[in-house]
Amino acid sequence: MIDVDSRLDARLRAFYEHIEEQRPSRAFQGLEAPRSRPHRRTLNLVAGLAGFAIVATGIGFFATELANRHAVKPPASATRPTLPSSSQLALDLPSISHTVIKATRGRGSASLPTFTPQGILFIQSACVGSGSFSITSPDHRVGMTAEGCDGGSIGGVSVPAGPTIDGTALTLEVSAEPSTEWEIVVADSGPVPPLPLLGSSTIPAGAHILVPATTGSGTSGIQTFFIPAGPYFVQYACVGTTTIDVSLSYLNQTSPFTSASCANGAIRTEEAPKPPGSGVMNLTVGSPPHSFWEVLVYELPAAKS
Amino acid sequence: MIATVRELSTGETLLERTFEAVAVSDARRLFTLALSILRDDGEAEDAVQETLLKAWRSWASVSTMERPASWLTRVCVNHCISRRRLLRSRGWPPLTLMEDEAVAGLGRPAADLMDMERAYRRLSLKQRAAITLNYRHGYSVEECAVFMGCSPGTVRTHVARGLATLRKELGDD
Repeated sequence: MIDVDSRLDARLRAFYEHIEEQRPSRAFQGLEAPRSRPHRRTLNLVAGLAGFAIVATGIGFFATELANRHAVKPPASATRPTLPSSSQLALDLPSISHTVIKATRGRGSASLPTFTPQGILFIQSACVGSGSFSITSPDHRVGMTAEGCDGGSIGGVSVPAGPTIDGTALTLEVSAEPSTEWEIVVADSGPVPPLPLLGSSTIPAGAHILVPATTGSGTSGIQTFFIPAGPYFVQYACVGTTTIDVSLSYLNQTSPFTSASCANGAIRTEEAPKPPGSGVMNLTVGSPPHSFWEVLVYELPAAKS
Repeated sequence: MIATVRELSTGETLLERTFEAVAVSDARRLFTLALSILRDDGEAEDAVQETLLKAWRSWASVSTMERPASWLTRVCVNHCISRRRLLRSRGWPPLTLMEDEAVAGLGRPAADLMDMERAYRRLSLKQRAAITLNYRHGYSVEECAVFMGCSPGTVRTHVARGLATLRKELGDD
């Protein structure tokens, strides 16, 4: 759940309560499932009797028709949830990735071919069926579980590059109900371009570091620091697919500070807004699961008057 | 033959009852959700009816899902976003008409709500959907992402930017 400051929280709550008090029109409230027409039972009876008469007099034709029916498959239901196509499944993979296991379809539990990932590992999957669905490795280096397979939605997970993944043979195992259909594609990033090491070499001489270089992946990371006397700057870089969002919050009010696309580790530095007064600020960094970031905050000495 | 007719009849009734119990009883929740995103009663009713129509047509498969309410929510949210986009491209509804309706519809001390309404209309539909689902309905970011057909990061961005716009419009920042 999002964290909203108390003032906006109260206004939003009142606003949504106002919306929830509104009622649909009277005609809409009378909405119900389509009903069978009253004369339908009679019609069925007449049709049944007519059918019975036809069957009784034409049993030979009936047998022939029955034989023909065996050769015809019933049409597949158009409304049943289906697995997405292979191209859809691969759509969310980062452009830097290389496929190591092509889109593979299966049913129930199974083992995938052993492979040796390099860099970041990406697994995209979709399933249709009941019960939970999980992808794990026997040595517990990889583990993801979906509570249910809801209409073929695509789920993704990334495993950061590291000595336990990089260059080591890996076997993925799928656990699912026997009736559950699934599709999986696995990719890796190849050797990961190292993040720039932010620090004394990337900040001006005389700058004072407020938040030391911190690296992270995917979901937000939070660092706290005291509001400095002088101007202060956020320096950041990321590698991955899309964008990095940096937010600063003060007295429970969060405001997005900057949002920039990851350009394979290009270092950006931006002066951050300074709230009036003193106190503690929180730095939040957010990025999609397939991005890796590094951030540092430093202060320049206040100009002497 | 008679036995077959009876079985069919019973099965059909059960199917209708289940649809009513699950989908139609959920109509009020879907209406509130659609209204929160669209801010237009008629459009919200249309969105719910379209959702229920799709559910009825697909009921054979929807009824077997573990959480049909999730499916209904996803269809409704997607319909809201796409339907409104179509209307907006035709320049409908005019902003003045919407403002008039909003003011007329307020039955409580109105100043705060009018400010909020005005600020809320500055949000994109996806921002409204993200805030409504995450903040009001309590769905996780990951669940919102499934409903809206985007990544969790995008949902977070919609929420953060939507809230920032609200604060700015309300003069809270």
